[in-house]
Amino acid sequence: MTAPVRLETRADEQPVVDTPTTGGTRPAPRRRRRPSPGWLYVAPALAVFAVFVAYPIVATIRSSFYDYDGISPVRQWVGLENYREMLGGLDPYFWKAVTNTLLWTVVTVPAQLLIGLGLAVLLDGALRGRVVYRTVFFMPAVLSSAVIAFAWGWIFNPDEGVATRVLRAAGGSGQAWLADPGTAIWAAFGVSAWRYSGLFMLFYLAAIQMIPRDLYESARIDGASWWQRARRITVPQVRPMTVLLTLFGVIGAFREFEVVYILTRGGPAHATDLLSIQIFDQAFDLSRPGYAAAIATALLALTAVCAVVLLRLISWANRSVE
Amino acid sequence: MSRTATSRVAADRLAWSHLALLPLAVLWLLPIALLLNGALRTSTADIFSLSPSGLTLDNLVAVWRETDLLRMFVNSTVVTLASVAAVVVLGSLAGFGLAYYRFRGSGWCCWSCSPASCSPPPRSSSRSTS
Repeated sequence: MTAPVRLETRADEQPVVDTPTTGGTRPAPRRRRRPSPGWLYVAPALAVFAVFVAYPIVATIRSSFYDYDGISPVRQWVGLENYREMLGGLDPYFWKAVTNTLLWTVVTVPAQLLIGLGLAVLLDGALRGRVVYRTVFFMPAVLSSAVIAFAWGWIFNPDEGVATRVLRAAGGSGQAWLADPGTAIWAAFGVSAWRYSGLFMLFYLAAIQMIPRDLYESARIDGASWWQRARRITVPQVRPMTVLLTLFGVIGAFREFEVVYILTRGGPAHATDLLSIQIFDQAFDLSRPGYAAAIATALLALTAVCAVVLLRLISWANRSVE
Repeated sequence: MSRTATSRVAADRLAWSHLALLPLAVLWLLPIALLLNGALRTSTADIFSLSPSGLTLDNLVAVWRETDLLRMFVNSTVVTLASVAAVVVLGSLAGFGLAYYRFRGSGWCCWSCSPASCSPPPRSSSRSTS
């Protein structure tokens, strides 16, 4: 709170304002003539953003109007033909991928939120060994996708994998986890929950430690049980973090690619096909970068809509706590 | 820390949570343990073996000899250092600019560049009135 005030006074001490650097620090109302010095701070990041984010997005949208093979320089303008093929039911795999991507999102994000919050609540107290637990649960978050896919590929091995052995020991028969369309996507859900729950736990731990202790004290004096305190204090108080993590999770779910691709390549029979995998397959395996760009644009639109909705929710959640 | 002291009373009551946490911790460590186990087996048929016999460091030696592991580590380190440095410098500059100056398009910058990191509402009342 004090820092902006200091900036204002410094501007007053220098009445001769001849550079745009100090021009905007005068206590002028919102509308000013000179470019705000804020732009100078933002400009480097904005330049990187323009080159590595904005330009590729524009280029992707542009190539979605073309039909080409990605190798020859010949590009044929086809207008909205790619979109017609994609949305018009001509490509059943696209809709399969949309369904899977949405299913992926609505299953894995709540799972990660629930496990993450649960772990955080359990590990916030003075539990013996909580540092060890936190480290263990956070560990998957620092592993690379290839390593994760490799390890879980072994676990789901239909003959010797641990998951198969456990199932056999429990009286079941062998199970081709990743080759069976019914189980493949659920196996991948499990890997995703395993991977990100620890990260969510860490964010929730930070949020829980921001909660004023006296809330718990007075609740305890009032005779609230452990469960009531968790349910009535912790959960509402960490709501902004929940919404933020939902945003992270949804964006992450839409972008999920490597682990699923290495585990199943979107198979069997497109059972684990995600939009991101479709984009890769169309662009590189089927040599249709134009069509892949159209799918990428659809994914971008989906992400943007979700992000805007969740950002609105974030301001709502912040207000609800204050 | 004081919060640890206040919640120490609850430590005994929390002990039951080991019942939930221990199996989960095992599940969380399992893939990593299997990875290490696999790294210490030579033949593919042996990868799934869990017996303590037949463990060998041959793979690790082979990796060190046959690939330029050091080079890869150096590459990873260089990429990591460079990108983290760039992110910290560019991000903190932009973050300062967006937090301390209110200007036309600043909200737009917040939303498009880094929507998630602007989780506290960008238009906080205390700042704009100063």
